[in-house]
Amino acid sequence: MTLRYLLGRIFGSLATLLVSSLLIFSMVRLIPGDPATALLGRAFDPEIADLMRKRLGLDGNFFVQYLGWIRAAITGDLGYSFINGSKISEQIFERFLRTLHLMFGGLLVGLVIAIPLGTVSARRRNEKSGSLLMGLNGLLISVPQFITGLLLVYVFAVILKWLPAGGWIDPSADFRRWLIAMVLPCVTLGLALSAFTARVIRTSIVEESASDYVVAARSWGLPETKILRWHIYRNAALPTLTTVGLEIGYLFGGSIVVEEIFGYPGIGQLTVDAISGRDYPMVQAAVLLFAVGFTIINLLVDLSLLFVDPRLRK
Amino acid sequence: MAEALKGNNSSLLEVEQLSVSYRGVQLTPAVVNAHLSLPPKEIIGVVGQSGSGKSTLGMAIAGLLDPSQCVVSGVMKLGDTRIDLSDSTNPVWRTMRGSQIGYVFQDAQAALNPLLTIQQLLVQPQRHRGIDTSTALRRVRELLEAVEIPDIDRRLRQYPHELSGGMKQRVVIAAALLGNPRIIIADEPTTALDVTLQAQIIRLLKRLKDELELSIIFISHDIDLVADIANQILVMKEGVIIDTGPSETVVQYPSHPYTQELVSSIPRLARIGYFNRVEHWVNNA
Amino acid sequence: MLLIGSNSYDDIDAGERLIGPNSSHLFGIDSYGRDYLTRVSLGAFISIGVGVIVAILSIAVGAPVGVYSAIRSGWIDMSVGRSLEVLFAFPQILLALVLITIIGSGIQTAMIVLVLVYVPIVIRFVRNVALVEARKDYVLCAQMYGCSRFRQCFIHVIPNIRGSILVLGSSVCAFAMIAEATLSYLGLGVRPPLPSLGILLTENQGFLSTEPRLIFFPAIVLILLVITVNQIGDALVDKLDIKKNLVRA
Repeated sequence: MTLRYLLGRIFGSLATLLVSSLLIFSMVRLIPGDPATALLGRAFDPEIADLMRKRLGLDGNFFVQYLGWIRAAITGDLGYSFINGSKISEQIFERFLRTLHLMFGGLLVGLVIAIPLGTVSARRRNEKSGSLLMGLNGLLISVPQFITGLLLVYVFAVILKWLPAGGWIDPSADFRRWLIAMVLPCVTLGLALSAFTARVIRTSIVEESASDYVVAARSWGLPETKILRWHIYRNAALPTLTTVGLEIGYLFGGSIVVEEIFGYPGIGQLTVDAISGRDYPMVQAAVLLFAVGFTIINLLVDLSLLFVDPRLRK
Repeated sequence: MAEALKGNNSSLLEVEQLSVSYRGVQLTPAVVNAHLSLPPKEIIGVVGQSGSGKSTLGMAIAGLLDPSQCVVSGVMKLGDTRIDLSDSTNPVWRTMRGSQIGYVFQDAQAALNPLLTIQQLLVQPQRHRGIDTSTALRRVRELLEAVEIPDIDRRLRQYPHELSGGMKQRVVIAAALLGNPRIIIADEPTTALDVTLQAQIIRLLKRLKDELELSIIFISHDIDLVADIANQILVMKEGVIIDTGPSETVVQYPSHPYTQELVSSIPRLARIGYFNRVEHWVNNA
Repeated sequence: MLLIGSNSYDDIDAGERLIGPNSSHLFGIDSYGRDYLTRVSLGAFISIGVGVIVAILSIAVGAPVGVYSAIRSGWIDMSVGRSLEVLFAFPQILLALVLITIIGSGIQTAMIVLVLVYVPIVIRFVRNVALVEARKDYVLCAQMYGCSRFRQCFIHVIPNIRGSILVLGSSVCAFAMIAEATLSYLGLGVRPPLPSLGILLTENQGFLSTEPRLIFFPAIVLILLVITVNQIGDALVDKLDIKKNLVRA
């Protein structure tokens, strides 16, 4: 039973990846006009143009080109950048890793804020402090992420000068300074995430508190504190986990913006620069990597849900 | 506490002037001035249609109503202890729940936390009374046997959704008995089950009452069912107890017009005890 | 074009630069000598415009599809459902970026891209709501007496879910405003010299330490806009008593 579900999910993910990669590859073909001409402009040279089109997979049969691209990608060869001619794979994987650091840090910060915020505002839902917290939460949700980023930079980097305004330092060289530089970007990412997650946590706790099995546990003599821990929190963790899974997509997107604000050399910054610079091979490679990472992480989250909820194992 | 109750032979539980109202824009009365006297080893049936307040009555006695949603007033006498029902913060409730009064829920599926195994669900409440795990586990097995659940080892490791409806109900009954209560409040324990299961559960309850010397408050909308199992019947309508008496009298000679309505819904043969007599003849043939 | 403030948005007064707020220039002057109040208010106008247009367009396209799919059920509905699932396997921003790569940047393309990104979301939401509605008796009645699909959609179902749609609209509007600002911030949306709030934030980010007002004014205006739209949405929810199951921007 579980095995079938597992295989089903993996197969589903592969199918999605397939479709996504097809779309990404055909992206270049959808560009109106001839990309080679547009890119070369005045420096137009038919030979170079031909080479470019070949690199972009525009010459010849679509599927042949597509399969060639996929095969190369699987072996790690993602082609060459149009901007500086260097091998894409040299820069892209490292940057992807750095973005993952950022996302993970953001998730951590988000949860560290959201869990106490949500739990306390749930516990105090009938008191004034509870409504205050929820009001704060609502405000937080309304503020667009890159503005909170700029605000944080202003307060902590410009005025207080406690933290740097951006950049990245090799952790193997100077771990402490790397950590310090990561603080603001991760907090920016995590803050918006935390507002939404805190609200979900609060709602879940309130709902679980009203369920029948809580009353049942009370009738069997369980003290309130134990009821909270064993029944309410445990069951509220389920929708919370589901929500966090949904937020992975947000983290991916948000990291792009955060990398721009803080000049963080991750894959998001690379992608934005590539798009502005019309570096199509780079864009294709970066989006492909994004899609792969996104799919894998989603799959992992779904599978972890299987562990937590015994009802899914049927 | 149990010692004090044993010696008392007039009544185990007495409830006086119990009133419950739901908070809201206005206070909506759910139970109005209820009186109840539960002698030891007897079953009292509370009958009424949906909304008559019978479940609320049961929950009020068990101390399970949410004070932020209800206003309760009245007095309850449990053996020698006098409890003011309007005070929900009284520490007496904590010792009382589970060990004096057990509650059997109508919706067994909802009453069992879907994320915990049967073993976890049943061992926990005991652990918090200071009982060690092995003793607690032993008691759980005893109880599961008493409620006639087969293949106990396997069931202990299962989750609620893996059990059938009848088995879930048995587990809920077992859970109510964990703390060795003297009194069980059974809120429509068979409503969600089909007829054959109903009969089994009723038989089970009767047996448990005799073996464990329990008193039961049996709540149902089915007067036929209640008449079968209870010694005394209380009829409730819109929060008020409008009729009370020994079950045979209430069913065969109903005085109040509402009771007459309820009784008239019972198929005639059952009403005059025909099937009991048949059973008697068959057994003594 | 709406002109608040003393001058047009790219009128350069070469003599004065980077001057703080004063009586003739309420928001001061930016580094190119342009009146900042004009630029910020134009940016706000762009945000509102993009938000509203994107919301209206995506709902105009998405809602009928969602309702039709819900009413039709059968394999049409199934394929719509499946395609939505596949689409949502992608994070929105990625989709937007890919589209921008293809179509290019600029305010019109930004709007087209945003509409394309939000239409699936609208379809999914409306379809969910409509599925519940379509099972109700009055719809089945209409089907039985031979009501055409078109009439079923527009005369029966949609008026009954218009509350949810309105609320969805306000959410999409708020989302779109933020998305437009974000895209412009990344340099992928509105093109300079048009002063989208996002662009104002990008071009003046370097002045955060010296002239913070250049960042604060657009930031506060954007926040206020989003809060206002969200408040309107909330007020609609309260007025129409709809369950709050929408994500806020």
